[in-house]
Amino acid sequence: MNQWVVLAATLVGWTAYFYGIDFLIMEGQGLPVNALLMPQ
Amino acid sequence: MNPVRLTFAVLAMAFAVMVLPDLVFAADPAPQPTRADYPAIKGFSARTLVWGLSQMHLFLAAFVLAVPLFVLCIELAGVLSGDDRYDNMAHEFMKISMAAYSFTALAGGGLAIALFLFYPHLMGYLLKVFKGQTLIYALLFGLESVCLYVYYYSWDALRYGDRKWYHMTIGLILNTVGLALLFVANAWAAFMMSPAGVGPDGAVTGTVWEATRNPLWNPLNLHRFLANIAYGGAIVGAYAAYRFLSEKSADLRAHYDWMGYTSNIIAVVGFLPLPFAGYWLMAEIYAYSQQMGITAMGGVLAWLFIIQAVLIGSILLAANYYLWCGLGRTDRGASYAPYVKYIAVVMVGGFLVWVTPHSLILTPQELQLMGGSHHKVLGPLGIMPAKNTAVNLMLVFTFLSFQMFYRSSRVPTVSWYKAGNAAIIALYVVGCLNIIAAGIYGYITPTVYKVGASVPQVVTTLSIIVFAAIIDGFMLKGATKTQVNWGRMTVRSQYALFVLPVAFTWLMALMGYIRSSLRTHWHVYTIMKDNSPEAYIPTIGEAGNIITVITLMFMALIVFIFWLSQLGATKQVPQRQAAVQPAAGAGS
Amino acid sequence: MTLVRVLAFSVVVLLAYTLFANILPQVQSDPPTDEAPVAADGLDMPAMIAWGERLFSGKGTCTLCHNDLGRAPDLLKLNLAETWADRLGNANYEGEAKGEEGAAAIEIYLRESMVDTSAYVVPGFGKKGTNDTVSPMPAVDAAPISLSEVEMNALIAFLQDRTGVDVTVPLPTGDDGEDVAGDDEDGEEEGPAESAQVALDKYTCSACHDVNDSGADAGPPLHSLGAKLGRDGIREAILDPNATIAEGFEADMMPDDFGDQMRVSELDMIIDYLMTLDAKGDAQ
Repeated sequence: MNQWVVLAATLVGWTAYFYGIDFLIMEGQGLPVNALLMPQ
Repeated sequence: MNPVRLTFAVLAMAFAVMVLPDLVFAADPAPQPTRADYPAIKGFSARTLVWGLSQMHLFLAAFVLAVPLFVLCIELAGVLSGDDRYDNMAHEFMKISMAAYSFTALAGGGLAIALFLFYPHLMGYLLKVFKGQTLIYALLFGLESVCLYVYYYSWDALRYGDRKWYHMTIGLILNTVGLALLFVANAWAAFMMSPAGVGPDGAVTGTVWEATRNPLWNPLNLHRFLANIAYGGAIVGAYAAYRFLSEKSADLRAHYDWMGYTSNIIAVVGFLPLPFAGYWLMAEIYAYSQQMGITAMGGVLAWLFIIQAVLIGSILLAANYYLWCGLGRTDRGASYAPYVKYIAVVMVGGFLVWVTPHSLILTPQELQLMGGSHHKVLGPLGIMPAKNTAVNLMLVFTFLSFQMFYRSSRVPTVSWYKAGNAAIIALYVVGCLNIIAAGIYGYITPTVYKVGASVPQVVTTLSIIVFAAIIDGFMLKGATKTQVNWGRMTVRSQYALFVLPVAFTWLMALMGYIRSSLRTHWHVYTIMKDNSPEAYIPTIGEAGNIITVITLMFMALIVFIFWLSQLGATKQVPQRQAAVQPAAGAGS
Repeated sequence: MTLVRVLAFSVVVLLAYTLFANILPQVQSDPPTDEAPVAADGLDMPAMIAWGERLFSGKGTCTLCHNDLGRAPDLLKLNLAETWADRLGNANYEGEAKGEEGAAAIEIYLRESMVDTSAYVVPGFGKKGTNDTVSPMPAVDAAPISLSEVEMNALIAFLQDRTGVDVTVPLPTGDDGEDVAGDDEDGEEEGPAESAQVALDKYTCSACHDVNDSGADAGPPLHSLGAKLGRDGIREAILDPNATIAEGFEADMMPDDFGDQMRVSELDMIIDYLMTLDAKGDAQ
């Protein structure tokens, strides 16, 4: 497989993975995930 | 009745009486001795003596428990790979630690005597709480001795085939007993910090198991288990480095270089998960008592964590430096050399961020110039999100150094290796960005959420390590192994291996100081006050001096132990007759 | 030779760490000393409020969390009058002060906050994951803080005073004296001195100062102190002797632990007496 295709695909893939676990971890702690919505 | 059964029944009943609640001991509240009740020897600091003995005992016990753990793993590696070198190295590691065992017991005995002598009320109370568990502890020591001596002395007798598996089983039992000893002792230490199974006045209300399973027990278990492994690796690494520097023959130098490399791996592998275990410990401390948590991180003890940052930073830098030097062992390794400086930048930069305190030490004039106690630019680097980001990145890049070295002697032969590389690069890039993003999140959210933001960072680091290792595992299957020139190392690199145990030892003692200080003026937190004359928390400088003295004593002892193990292998050559006879012709 | 080099290197690394530990700010944390026990007729309201303020940053360890770092409401910076009004007026508030008004409501609310900390949790400050139903604050009347009822009253007095409302807590009576004096480390319970003369003897002032015609001159003569120092100055001179040293005398000579030993009533009697001494040391 073309290495650049793999690079692009895995960049997307890992981003999805890390966002996913971030979400699960923060929800699990009862904390909001999206900081932009946080009250200052 | 059958005498064997009768004996068993009596022992079982004694055991039951010992561990079940309040069958023997009345439910008295904890003693509250006044200052005058504490035995004292004029001009003699009881607290310092107990501190010194307990720290020596911990250093030695950590070493003696850790070595069999990784020795068993190396032994297994030897069996699975069929390579004799692993087995010989494992045997040599065991030899180094044998002499340490009796010193551990000596320090432990001394500690027990000192504790009972100077803090009899506390010890009496702890015995009331833990009852027969103390006897079990003593029995475990006996069992540990038996297993240790049999494991070591049967090495050559149980060398091959089925016997080797018997030998490793003995090693497994040895490690189980060792861990049990660690967990029992941890229960007592953790109980003093977060008591359970007792009422507010200290009266025993629960079982020994409840007192054992107090809130801080398991976090302490995990933290000490991992730290012991890292520590054991660091100490044997120093042994290997010293032998490397003092041997002349190329074969021996190659052998000790390899041993040093293996020790460094053990130390790094034990070290990488430590921050997570430490985080869990702090989280449990906060959950148990916010006050205790804040005393540690925001109160009197806050500066200690800056010292900890310096120590861990120096450990990481030394371990990485050793790995970078190690790249010189292979010809392929040189191709990775240009990347080293980027890793170095991250390591040093991370270290500096980690070391930056939030509140600076300032004179009044400086305060005025700066307009406050926090620097506008550097101040924000002092709070947790910055530090967690820095340390996680440092760990990721340490793993990268290791991964580079691992690959430097392996040329991949799979067809998809370019794609595999791309996947790994993407993993590192996205992972690091995630760590940084979580750090920024910590900045722009209220204080209460900052700590929560560090968990994703930790999980990210672990993910990077695990996935990169898995991908590499598949990618380098069947790889062509290039020549590794063991022994081709600079002298400087060996000194990096000396930094590890020195820093680790001092760090362990510092952490012990923090752990004991968290109890502030309590023997058993909230239950039994410390009314002794030395109930204060000493200053960092005072503690630092005591820690340095203990560390120096430990270093001297370790040198002695290494010397003993070498002495054990030395054989004096008998003098030949020819040398004794006078020269022919003289006197005739 | 290698051994020497290795050992020297290790020692240098060790000394670097030791040096670093010694140049950082040095803080020694002593166990809390108990405040001078309170006896009957010992305390007036201003003194009670001052005691409460000392407890706030001292034995009560309130400032550990109640500061500007966001762990707990910053009680020293907030506009307390508005704050309590908000809390008590909040529809979610179901605690004991519900339905009460004014300074009395504040007293009830404060006592509840200290003893039953999860009765009402200020939004945003609850333990993570409990949706603001559980407070991370420990009960202050339990270990390790262990404030007595009188001490909590002092804290409430301090906070009520800061709010600007009337202070509604009772002053301590003779019965309360036992409550607090029970913490005495030596386990002894002596009654307070009955008069200034007895107090001066008890604390052996005349051993160093010229008082009661002792003629001692190790310390400054205690003449015309009313004019020279005033009540506050005399109090400071007894409780914190090194704060100001009289000309011609040295520091670190006078015991600095009278604050631990003296009862408030004894201290007041001594100060009253010293205020009456004229330039010749005679009582007027």
